[in-house]
Amino acid sequence: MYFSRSRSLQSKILVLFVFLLVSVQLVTTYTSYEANQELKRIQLNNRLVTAREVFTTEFNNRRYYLSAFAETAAKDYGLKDMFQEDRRSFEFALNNHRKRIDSDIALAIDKEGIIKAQLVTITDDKGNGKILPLNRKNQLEIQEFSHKEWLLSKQTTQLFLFDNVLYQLSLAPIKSGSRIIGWIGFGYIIDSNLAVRFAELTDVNVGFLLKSHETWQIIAHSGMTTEVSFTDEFSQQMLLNNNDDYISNQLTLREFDNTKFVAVMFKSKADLLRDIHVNWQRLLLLLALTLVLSLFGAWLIAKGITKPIKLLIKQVQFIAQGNYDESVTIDDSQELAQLATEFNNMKQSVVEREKTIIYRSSHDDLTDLPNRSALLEYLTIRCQQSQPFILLQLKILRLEELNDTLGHVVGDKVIIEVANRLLNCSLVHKSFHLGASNFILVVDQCPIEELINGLLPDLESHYQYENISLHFQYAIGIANSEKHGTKNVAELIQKSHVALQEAQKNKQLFQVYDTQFDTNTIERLHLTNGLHTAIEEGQLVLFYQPKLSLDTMKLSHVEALVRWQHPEKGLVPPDSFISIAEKTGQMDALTRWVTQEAIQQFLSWQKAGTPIKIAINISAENLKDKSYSDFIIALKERYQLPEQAITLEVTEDAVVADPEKATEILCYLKEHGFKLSIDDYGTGYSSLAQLKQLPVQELKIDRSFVQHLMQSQDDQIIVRSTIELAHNMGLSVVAEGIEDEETLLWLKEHKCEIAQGYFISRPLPVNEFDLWLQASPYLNTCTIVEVNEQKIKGKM
Amino acid sequence: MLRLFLLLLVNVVFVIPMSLAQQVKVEVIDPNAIGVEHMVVYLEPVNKPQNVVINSKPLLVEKHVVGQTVIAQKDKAFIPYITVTQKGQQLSFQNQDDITHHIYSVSGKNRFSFKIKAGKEKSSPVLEHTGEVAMGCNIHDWMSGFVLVVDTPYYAQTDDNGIATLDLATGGEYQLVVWHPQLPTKNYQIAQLITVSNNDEDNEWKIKLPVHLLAIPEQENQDEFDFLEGY
Repeated sequence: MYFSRSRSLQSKILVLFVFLLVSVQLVTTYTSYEANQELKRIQLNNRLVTAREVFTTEFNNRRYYLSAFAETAAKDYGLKDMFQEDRRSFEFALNNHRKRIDSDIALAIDKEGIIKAQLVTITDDKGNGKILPLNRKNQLEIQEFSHKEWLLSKQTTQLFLFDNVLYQLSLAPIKSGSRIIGWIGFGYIIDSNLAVRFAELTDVNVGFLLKSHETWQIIAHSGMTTEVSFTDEFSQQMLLNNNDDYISNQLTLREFDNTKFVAVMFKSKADLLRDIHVNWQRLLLLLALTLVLSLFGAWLIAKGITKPIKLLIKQVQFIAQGNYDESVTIDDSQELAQLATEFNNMKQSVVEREKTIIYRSSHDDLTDLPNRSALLEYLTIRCQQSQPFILLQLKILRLEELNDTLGHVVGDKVIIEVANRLLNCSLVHKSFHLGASNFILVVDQCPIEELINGLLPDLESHYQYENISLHFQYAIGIANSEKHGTKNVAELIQKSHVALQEAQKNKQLFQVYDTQFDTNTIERLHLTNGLHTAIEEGQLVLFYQPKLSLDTMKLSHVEALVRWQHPEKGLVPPDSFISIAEKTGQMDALTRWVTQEAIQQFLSWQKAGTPIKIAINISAENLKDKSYSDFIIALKERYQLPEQAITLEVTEDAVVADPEKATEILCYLKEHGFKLSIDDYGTGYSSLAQLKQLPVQELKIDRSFVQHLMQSQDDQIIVRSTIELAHNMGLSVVAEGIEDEETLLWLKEHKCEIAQGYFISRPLPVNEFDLWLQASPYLNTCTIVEVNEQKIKGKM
Repeated sequence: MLRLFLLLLVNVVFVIPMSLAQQVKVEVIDPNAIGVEHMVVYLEPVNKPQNVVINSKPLLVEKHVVGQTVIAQKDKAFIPYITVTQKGQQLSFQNQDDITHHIYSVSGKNRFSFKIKAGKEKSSPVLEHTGEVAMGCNIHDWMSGFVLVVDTPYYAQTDDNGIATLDLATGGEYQLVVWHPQLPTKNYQIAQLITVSNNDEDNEWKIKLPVHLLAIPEQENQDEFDFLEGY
């Protein structure tokens, strides 16, 4: 979650810190490294410069020492005195001086430049030092000194190469008074011992080279510490200072005869820098340690900064889960503390708003009583407490009328008044308002009669509204938690509702729920879902109820009545599903099916020789536009149906909804040769004026007037006057619901044209109808023959 | 220097009246034609007459020591710096300083070495060989004096003007030698054969040195440090 797309603040801070620290460390390291490199360079240079200084000083000291000694010796009278003596004597005198400084060579030259004496020390195979005088073939041979120019030179010390051995030689004149009578010289050998000694003094390696015309001659060197040998190539590298492993420096000590005497000082860098390397490693270690520590520190800081934020997140999450009692407390920093306070304020606002929302969502706006959802919640809890209770669903009757007559304001006032009465009613444990005129009362278990009697006085008292005294009427459905189950509270409420409907239906004050009420309602639910399939799958079937022409007492018409042959429930009565079809917008489809079936049946009968006219019930849905009209007209034309073969029965209600349109459609149908009939006449509110407008040819008196005609004077008056009215308006009359012969006769007597009812026949499926017709006395004669013929044929 | 001057003056005074025969006048000039003083000039007869007695008498005679040339040691210096003498003579060294000197010569064949205590006088061995005697003092290294031993009675030193006058017994062919210890030529000399006529006026020779003399060593302690005065 924290590391998904956007990284957490902590990791951001940590990354920033790490970046900064690493940068600083890198810069530091780089600087250190550079400083170290510089230090190395300086160190290396210093070592060599120092070595060079030491070397120069030492070399000069030696020269000075030699030169001073030579001068001193030259002034020694003993030596002067011996200068003119025989060679051998002088050589001894010279050697005597030589020994004083242990020089490696001693020379004496006379004023002509002839070598008078020359003593060279050598070390023999046994390591004993020997003096080697100048080798002469004979006493008379003279040898001139090879560097006479040195004698008059101010430079008293020279480099003297003799027998491939290089000497540092210092010459001094021997004078008699101011007259130079000769020279003596003393010299030290320049060899590896010297190099070693210098190397010890300077702590760098020393090599002596003679350079002439780019050729090198190695004189001596202090020896190598490593396996590298002091070769010509190596010495050249040292001179050019181009060996990466070594640092070197050269010092030209003397230049003579186009020859340079060069001292090369060199040192292995590794040796020089060994100490520094140790420090470098230590520095790296320290650096790593510092880095680790600072990273840890950065982590701590990042954690420290984000800790209150995380705490905040945690607390806010906790609150988000609905734990509003908790407060956010952060006191790490002012800003975060402020943020926490704001969170708390926000939380408070949210809590209040939520309270309001919850209250609103669980209470009815109008009455402020708890609503359906509160009821569900309450009942759930109540059921869990296993305390039995009674659920009353109370409906204020005729509230719509009140709304219509006095307006909704008054209606609302009435509802509020009832709510208040319920609240003040001591018997009612808790009241809920389901909306509109419906209330639910939860009452503790007690006898129902007592309960109702206890309730009514409070509820039925008159309500005075602006000088109008209103008397409330109620219907109450009762469900008992003990008897009717508490598994599903919604079901319990539904049961109370069913009971209420039952009470309303039966115009009772109250009705306790009974399981038998349920079948219809549950079936309706199933039927609603199944009707569509029923049409498609041909589960519907048409039944035909005969209509008897009273003047001929012969059968002339039938009414097609739809029945639902449900595969599971058996035959479903039309009352159950017609209304469903109406409410679910399937009426048009149903009617069309019925129309088609009826026409097919008419054709079938016509073919059989009994052209019985069929009446079809159409609904308001079919009168909304011309689509159904066109449909049936097309069918009539296709099958060449005779005029007036199909009667379309329309209820008053169907016309009432939109009389103008209905009238137009009906006229249209009439023009195309359909007979139109007003169905269920007398139950609706249609006025005679409306009736007059309708292009109907027939009027069908509702069964409610006919069923008890013989017992009711009122009904007789209604039927009689209706027949008269119809006749006067040029309409024929159909009476349905005839259940006995007396009624039939009465109607015949009063000129009613057609009779329909169980006395004649109940609606029958087509095969039963055919059988019934054959057996009935009402068979139209013109059709009998054919039927008989068929019967004969059938018997044959 | 004053003494030297006086001595020379005395010589000149004595020489002139004693001139009996031919007088030879030699003027020594440097390359710039300026007279050079203290140059030793001597004449050797080319055909040395057998009858000429050498060293029969000294040519230069000090008033107080007959037959000996005197070289004084004064202020730690040889005075005169250059002395010329005839073979077979002795030199007389007079230490006029208040310290001991150790006079020596190790060059050439006339070698000697001796110490002279303050205020004393000592004669050198007889100078039996001709040639240069380069003298020094073993105690004072800077002291330097030269003696030229010649095998002829005809020798002289130029005066301040570079003129030396020699009186010869007779005319004839002579080798004229001009010598100076700082003359940078072979054997520090130049030589020329001359014919001395019997006419005095004709016997004037001008000798031009081919090179300048080298610096005459200053007989002074060159050290920075010297003893305090009166020590």
